[in-house]
Amino acid sequence: MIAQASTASTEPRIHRAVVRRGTSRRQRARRLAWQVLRQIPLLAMAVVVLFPLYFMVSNSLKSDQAFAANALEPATSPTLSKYGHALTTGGLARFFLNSTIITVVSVTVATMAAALAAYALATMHFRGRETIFRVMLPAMAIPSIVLLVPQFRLMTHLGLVNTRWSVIILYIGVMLPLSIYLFRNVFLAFPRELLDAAAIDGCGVLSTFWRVVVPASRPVIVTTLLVNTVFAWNELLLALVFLQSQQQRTLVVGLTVFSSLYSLDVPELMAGMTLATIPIVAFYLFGQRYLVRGLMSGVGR
Amino acid sequence: MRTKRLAPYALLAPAMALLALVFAYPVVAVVNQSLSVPGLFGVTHRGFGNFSIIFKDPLFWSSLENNLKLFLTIPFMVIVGLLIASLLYSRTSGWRIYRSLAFLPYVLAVPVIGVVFSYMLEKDGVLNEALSSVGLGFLRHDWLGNPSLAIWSVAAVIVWQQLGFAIVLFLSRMIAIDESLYDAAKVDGANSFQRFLYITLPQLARVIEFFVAISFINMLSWVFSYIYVMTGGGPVQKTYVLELYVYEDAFRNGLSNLASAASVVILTVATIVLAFQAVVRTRVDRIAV
Amino acid sequence: MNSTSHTDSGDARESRLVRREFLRNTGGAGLGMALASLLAACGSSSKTSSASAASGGRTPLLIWYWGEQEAPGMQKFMEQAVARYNAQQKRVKVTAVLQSSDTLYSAFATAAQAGKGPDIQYLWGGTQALVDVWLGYLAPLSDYIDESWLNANIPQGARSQTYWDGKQWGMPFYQIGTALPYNKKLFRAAKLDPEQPPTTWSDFMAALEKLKGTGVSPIGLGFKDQFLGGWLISYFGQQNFNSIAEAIAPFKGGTAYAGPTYTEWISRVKDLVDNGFSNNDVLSINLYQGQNLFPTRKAAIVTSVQPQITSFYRTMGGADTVGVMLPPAFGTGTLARSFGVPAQVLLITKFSSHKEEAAEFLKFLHTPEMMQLMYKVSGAITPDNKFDQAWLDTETDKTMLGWQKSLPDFWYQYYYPLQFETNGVDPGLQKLWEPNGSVAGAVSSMQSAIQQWKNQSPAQAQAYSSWQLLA
Repeated sequence: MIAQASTASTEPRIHRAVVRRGTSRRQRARRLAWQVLRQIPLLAMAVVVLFPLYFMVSNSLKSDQAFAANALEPATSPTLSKYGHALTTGGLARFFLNSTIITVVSVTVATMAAALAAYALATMHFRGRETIFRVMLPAMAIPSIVLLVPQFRLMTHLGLVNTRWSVIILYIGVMLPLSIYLFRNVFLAFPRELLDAAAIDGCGVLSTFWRVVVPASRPVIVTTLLVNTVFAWNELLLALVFLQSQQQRTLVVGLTVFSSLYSLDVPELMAGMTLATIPIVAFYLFGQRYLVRGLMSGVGR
Repeated sequence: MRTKRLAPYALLAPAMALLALVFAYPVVAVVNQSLSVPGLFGVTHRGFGNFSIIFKDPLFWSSLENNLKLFLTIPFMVIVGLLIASLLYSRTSGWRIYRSLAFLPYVLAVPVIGVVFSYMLEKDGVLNEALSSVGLGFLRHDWLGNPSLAIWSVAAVIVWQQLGFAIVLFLSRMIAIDESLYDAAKVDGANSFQRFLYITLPQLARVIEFFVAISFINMLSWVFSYIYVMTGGGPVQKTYVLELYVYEDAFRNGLSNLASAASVVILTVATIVLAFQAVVRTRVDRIAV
Repeated sequence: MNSTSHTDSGDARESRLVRREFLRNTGGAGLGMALASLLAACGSSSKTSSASAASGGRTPLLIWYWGEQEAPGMQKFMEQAVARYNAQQKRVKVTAVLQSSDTLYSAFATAAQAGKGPDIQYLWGGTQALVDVWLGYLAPLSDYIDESWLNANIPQGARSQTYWDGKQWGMPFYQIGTALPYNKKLFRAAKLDPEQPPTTWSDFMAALEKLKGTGVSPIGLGFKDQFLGGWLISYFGQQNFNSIAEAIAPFKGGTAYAGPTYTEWISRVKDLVDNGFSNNDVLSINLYQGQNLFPTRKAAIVTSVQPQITSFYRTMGGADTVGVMLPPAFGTGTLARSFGVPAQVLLITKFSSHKEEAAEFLKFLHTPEMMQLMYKVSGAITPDNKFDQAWLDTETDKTMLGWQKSLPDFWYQYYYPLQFETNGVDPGLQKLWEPNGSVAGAVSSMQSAIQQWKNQSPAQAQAYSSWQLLA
C-alpha cells in the first residue's frame, strides 16, 4: 500500500481520474464504475442516433422478400439490385448538380453579404444602425409557407420561375438574418485596437475587413458556412414550388417525388434515401476537422 | 470623408436589397391580403373578418396548442444537451466518435428522417419489434396512430435532429473556458457540481440563451416538413401545427385570405417571442461572463 | 468584452421598435417594389419569345398531370402520347410534367395566383376540381369544344362531375371505377363461394366472420394519410338516397346532415370495426399500404380502383385469384346499388394563351388509338362512349364495365366540399377506431364541418347553392 502510494506521487500525472492520494481497490472500483456510468448516456445517444440510419441502410440492401420477412435484422444476403434501380430511375446526376450549384452559390453570396453587413453594423456608427438590425432579425422567424404565394408572384414578375436563380435568391434572403446575427455577435467583440491599428496603417474599410477581421473570425465563418450549407442543401418547400421541371429539380425534391412513387417498395425507397444522404454525410465527415478546429476558439459570445 | 460616411451603407446594400426583395414586399402582401375579406358575388371588403373566422376555428387553436407543446421540448434539449456536452468535455473514452455522431442527425434532410421514422414507428414496425425483442414489449405503442401520442412522437423526432446542434454549441463554448478557473475552484474545495453551477453555467449562459431563442423560432416556424411527412396533421387532426393550418387553407381549401390571416398571427407570435427573448438576453447578460 | 453597451437602452427601445416594425417594412417594401419593377422591365419582354424559340418556333403547350400512383404506367402512357402528338403535327409542341401528390395542388394554386403556369392542369375530379373553377383559375371546356362532341363522346356520369353553371369544365382523362376486389383463394379457404360474393350486408358480415376465422384480415384498410374517409363515405354513405340531389342537399343548405338517411352508414362502419374485421393498425398505415395488404395476401378484401384491380389481376394469377364485388347493400334507396366511377380530369387554365391548342390535344387523348394505348400501358380506362369492351383483357374489367352500363354512377366524394371530408368525415371516422369513438361523435364532427365550411367560404357555398346538376 505504502509502496504504491509513493510510486503514485513520483509518477507523472498522466490521467487525472486515476491519480489520487491513494489507489485502493475500492477507490479503483469506484473510479471504474464512474467511467462505465458515464459511458451509458453516450452509448444511449449513439444507439438512438445510429438505429434509424441502420434501418435505412440495412433495408436498402434487402430484396422485397427479405424485407417482408424481417425488417429488423441486418441484411443476411445483401443485394445492390435496389440501388441499381434507384440510380437508373433517371435524373439523379442532374438533381445532384442542381443542388450543388444552388447550394454553393447561395451559401457563398449569403455568407459574404452577411459578413459585410455585420461588419458595418458592428464596427461603424451610423444612423439607423440599431434599427436596421432589429427590423431585420425577426425575418428569421417567418416560415417559408407564409410568404410563398407573394414570392411566387414576384418571381413570376421577374421571369425567374423554374430557374435556379429564383431559389438562390430566396435562400440567400432566408439565410441572411441568422448569418448577420452570428457575424455581428463576433464582430462586436472584436478588439477595437486592431481595427484602429489597421486604419492608422492606411487600410481602407474593405482591406481592414479582408486582412484583419476575416482571418481572425474563422470559427464563426465555419459555423455560418456549415449551418447555411445544411439549410440550402436540405431545403424542400421552396425548391418544390419554384423548380418545376426535371432539369431544375434538386436532390431533396427528387427524393420526395421518388418516395411518393415508391412508397410501397421500402427497400427501393431506402436505397434512394441512402444515395441522397451520402453526399451531405460525406461533406460533414470530411469537413468535421475544420468544424472542430474552427469551433475550438468559441462561438456565440 | 464623403466615402467614409457612405461606407456602412455600401456594405449593407447587398444584404438589404436581398432582404427587401425576399421579405419586405411579400410580408406587406400577406398582411394586405389578411385584411381583405371575401364576401358574396366576388365582392371583397376591408376588415378583420378573416381573423374572427379563424379565431372561431377549433382547429386553429389546436394547431397553436401543438406549437406550444413543441416548445416544451426545449428545456429537455437544454438539459440533455448540457449533460452530453459535459460528458464529451471530460473526454470520456471514445468522445471523438460520440461527438461526430451527436451532430450527424442535424445534417440529414427532413424528408429522409421523416420517411424513415414513419416506417420505424408503425404499429408493427421495427421500433415496437425491437422493444419486444429486448423484453420491453409493454412499451409498445401506436406511436403515430394514437391521437394523443402522435404529436409527442413527432416532437421526439425533432429533438433527435436538433439535439446535436445544442451539444456542439455547448461543447465548443465549454472548450473555450479557461481551465485555470476550474483548478482554482478545486483548490477552494468546490465539488464538480458546484464547479458546473458557478463556473460552467455562467460561461454558457449566452450560448444557452441563443439556442433557446433559435429553438423557439424553429418550433414555431420550421416544423412543417416533419408534420407533413410523418402524420399529415392526423390522426383525427391532432397533430396540426400553425404552418400546416396555413398550408391547408392556402393550397387545399382555396381559402388564401384565411391563410394570410393565420400567417399574420404566426408573424405576431414570432415577434412577441423575439421581443421577449431580447428582454431575456439583457437579463442573461447580467449573469453571463 | 462587454457587449451590453450596445444594448444600453435595451428593453424600452425594443418594444417601441417592435411596434414600428411594420411601418419600416412598408419603407422596405417600397424599395422592394421599385427594385422589382426595374428588373421586371428587363425580365418579362423576352419571356414569350424565348419560350416559343425554345420549342423551335412551335406553339408550346405545358401540361401538369398526375396519375402514376393511382394507375401505374400512366407516366409512360403520357410520354408516349405526347411523343406521338409531337411527331404527327408540327404546329404544337407538348411538354408534360408529372407531379407528385404533394405538389399537385400546391404548385397549381401558387401558379394560378401568380397568373402563370401550365396550359392544361390535371385535377382530381368533381368538387376537387370545381373549387379551382369557382376561384376563377380555369377556362370552360365547352367554350372550345362543341356540345355535340361532348354529348356524343363523354358519358353523362363523368360529365356531370365537373358540369357547373351550364358549362363543361373538365375533360375526363381516366376513370377509376371503385369496387372491392377480393381474393378468391382466401374465400375458398374460408368455405365461401368464390364466384358468388355477398351482396347484402348480413351476408357480408357473415362472410367476414368466416374470413376472420382463417387468420387473415377480412378487410385491409389504411387511414393514416386521411384519404380513407372519402372512400368509406362513397362506398356506403349514399345507400339511402334516391338521387344525387338528395345527396348534396345538406351542402346546398336547408337540410341537416342527420337522421338515418344520411348517417346509417356510420353505424355500419362501426360494426365492421367493433367486430374486428379490419387489420389492427389501421390508423398507423397509409391508404396505399392498406391496399398493399391485398397482393401480400394479408387481407382478403381491400378498397381499390379499377386500374389497380387490373394490376392485381395481372400479377396475382388472374381470374383464379382475383374477383371483384360491389359494396354490399344495406340501404333502401335507389343508389344502394350503384357503381361509383369517379373521373379524373384535365382542365384548360384561365391564363393559358393557347386554349384552342389545348382543347385539340385533349380531344386527341380521346381517339381510339390513344384510349387503347392508355389501357394497355396503365390499365386505366378513358371515360368515353367509344371505349370498346373488346379491348378489355381481364374478367374484372369486363365485370366492372358491365356495372357501369347498367347501374347508376355516383361517387359521393366528388360531390361534397373537400372541407367536409378533411374536417368532418376523416376525423369523425378515425375516432371509430379509438376506444372512445362513437357514431354520435362522428356525426357531430361532420355536422360542424359543414357549418364551418359555410362560415369560412361563403363564396364556395354560394357557388354550390347554384349548382344545377346535369343528371
